[in-house]
Amino acid sequence: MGRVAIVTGAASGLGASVCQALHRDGWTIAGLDLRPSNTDLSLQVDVTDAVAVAAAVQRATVHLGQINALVTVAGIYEELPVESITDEQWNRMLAVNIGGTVNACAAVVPLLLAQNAGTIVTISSDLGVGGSQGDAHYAATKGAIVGFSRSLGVELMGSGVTVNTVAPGAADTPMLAADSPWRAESFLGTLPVGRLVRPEEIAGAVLFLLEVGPALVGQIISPNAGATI
Amino acid sequence: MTSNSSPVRIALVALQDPAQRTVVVARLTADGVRVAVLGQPVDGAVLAVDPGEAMASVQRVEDELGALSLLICDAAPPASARFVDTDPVDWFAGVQRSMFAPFALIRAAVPALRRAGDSRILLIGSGWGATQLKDSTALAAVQGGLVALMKTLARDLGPDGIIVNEIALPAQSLEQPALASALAAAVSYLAGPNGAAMAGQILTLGRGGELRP
Repeated sequence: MGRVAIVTGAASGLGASVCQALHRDGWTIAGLDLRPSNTDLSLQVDVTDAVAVAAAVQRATVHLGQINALVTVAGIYEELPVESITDEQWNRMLAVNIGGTVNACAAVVPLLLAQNAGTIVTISSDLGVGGSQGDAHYAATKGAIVGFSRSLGVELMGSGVTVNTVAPGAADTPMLAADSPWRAESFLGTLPVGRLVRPEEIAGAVLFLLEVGPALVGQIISPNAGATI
Repeated sequence: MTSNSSPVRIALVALQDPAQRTVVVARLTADGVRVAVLGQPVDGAVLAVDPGEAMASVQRVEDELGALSLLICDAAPPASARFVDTDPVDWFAGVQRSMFAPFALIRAAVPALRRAGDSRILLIGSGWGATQLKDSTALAAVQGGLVALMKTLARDLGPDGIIVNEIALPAQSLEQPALASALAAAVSYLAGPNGAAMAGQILTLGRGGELRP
């Protein structure tokens, strides 16, 4: 068996694009998602459930062998003014976006440490670095992913396990509703690149971080069409 | 420096660290601001409200002091531990608890701050500096979340006349007297008329080092 990666949120959107790019690059993939994914090993799991995620990762090792990389794509998005965000919406956003990232890392990090090698790429958002408008709970979770990833990168430094983050700008994925203001010409016209980021371009950034190895630790790469410069 | 012409007249200070609370209340009071604190009474504050339900706390400040025009808050730090030794369920619960309190307080205060007009929200944190600390993945996540929350709120609420910024302190907090003075000055600046052009910014105190990047 060649290189093996675990990808969360593998069934659709950015996660599916990452899986396709990894597949083309020769990786074997275990896809964790609520729904079935088109991967070598599709594991249906809720990333907010730490026990279930740990069990899924264990299954991946049984079926695919040594894990070389983790890419945490699973996430949700919602646009709401801060006063309209309910406790439940706030907690759900945290549970999926930062909780799901942490659950996957908690399950995979010990495996990577045991083999003194491995790469973790977390997915944040340009909004987690620079903020946004109408996305307070989403942006907060993505900022939390940046803080967590940088800190974990430092904690694991020297172990052979690296952690980096891709923080994409608004991307042309199903997560972005058809009537989202991020799709409006008035927004696209403000971007130096003049269009939404393509999922395959974000997947390309993930591939780069998987290839570059230990030279990068705790860094953020932002394929964002120039939205934040 | 605030003055009688300052828009900020009534403040609610909700800070975990007693030293920070004391410094901030003293400076605001010296600037002519009437200050309510969340939690234990502080010299200079004219009101102490129970840190129970956020909406009720804000309501009490408005009822007793008038239009709230400044909210200063932070997040309690979650437990520090090596990530590999941490149960992810405990890790997440700590992060969720830390992040929820400032969110709930801000959400409760926004209508009052909007009514007051020309008002401010100041978050006190460590910014991205937490990422440089040992065994602090949870703290770094909370602080990263606060940065993004602050920047998003600055964009959301700026058009309503609510200016949102963050003051980032190094981990050793106020052990250095110079840092206490700097915090007082930063609060006064960002709460006062001269800070009106700052929005969505992190004002980092200290000499750098661990606060990078």
